[in-house]
Amino acid sequence: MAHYLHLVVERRRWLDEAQFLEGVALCQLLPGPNMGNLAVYLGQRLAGLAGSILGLLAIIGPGALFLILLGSVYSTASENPFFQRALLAVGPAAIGVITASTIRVAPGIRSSRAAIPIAVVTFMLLGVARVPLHWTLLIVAPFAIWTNRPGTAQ
Amino acid sequence: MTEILTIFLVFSRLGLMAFGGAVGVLPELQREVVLNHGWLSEAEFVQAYALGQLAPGPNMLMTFFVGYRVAGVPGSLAAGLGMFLPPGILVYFAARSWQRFSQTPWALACQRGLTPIAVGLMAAGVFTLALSGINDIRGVVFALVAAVLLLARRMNPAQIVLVAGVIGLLLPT
Repeated sequence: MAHYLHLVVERRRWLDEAQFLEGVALCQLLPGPNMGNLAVYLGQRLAGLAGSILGLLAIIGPGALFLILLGSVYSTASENPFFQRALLAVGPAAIGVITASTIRVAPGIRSSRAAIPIAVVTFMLLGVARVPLHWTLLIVAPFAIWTNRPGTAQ
Repeated sequence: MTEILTIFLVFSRLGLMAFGGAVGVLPELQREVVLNHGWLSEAEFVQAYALGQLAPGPNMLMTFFVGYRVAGVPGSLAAGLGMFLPPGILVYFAARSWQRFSQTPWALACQRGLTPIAVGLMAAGVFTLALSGINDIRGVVFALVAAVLLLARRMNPAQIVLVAGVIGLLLPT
């Protein structure tokens, strides 16, 4: 995200930082992969519908192509013992990576009221009790938004 | 054809519930892909996530890989577009009027309310993947080293995953 901001705000000067962060806020408010959403948002602001379509294609296209190729390699090589050994290592490494990303964003909850109980209950419902995501959201979101309703900001 | 449509609908539903980013949707994604539809095994699912990290771009590009494993190129497009397109359409329409609403009290309240939920969802995503993907002490070491490299050295996630793969290849089993 920092790289994204640098590119859009400092290098290209397409938007100022406040406008960029406004877009980030919308993408976090709405569902969907954040980076894909942000590409659509920035595309819309810069060039309307064509901008959105191109933005989304540009952000997913190269990676999608790469993963389709990787998928075909995987389909033919997954029995290979060397490939198997590499696969056994990449899984845990990727888990380490998302653990670190979660730790990095966690301090962001400080500006919310009842942040720790909300985060813990969400985690317990979805992760431990394995309640389906839509039920988890329906249980937690109304409470969280009401607890943080206008006039309660810290 | 019905399978392709099923893939598209399953991933659309997931995309439209992915609040606070991709990692939070992993428990539900795993439930659909592994348990409900039996498209991938538990181990393959973790590998799909990890290989998705190697691609340039968003984490959820992994959906293109998952779709490919289920039904080739059409499956890949159905899964990936299902994940990215419906939320993108929402954002497109919202973007046109967002400037008027972004600073309203309720918009800010929703942001404050959703932030801790997003962190809880992410933690659940990490937990779910760890339960399926870390089975021995070697896994724990790989995960810890990767986390430290990202936090302390700010290494690129794709590099970390790639280096782990190469080390895994060289280590005796």
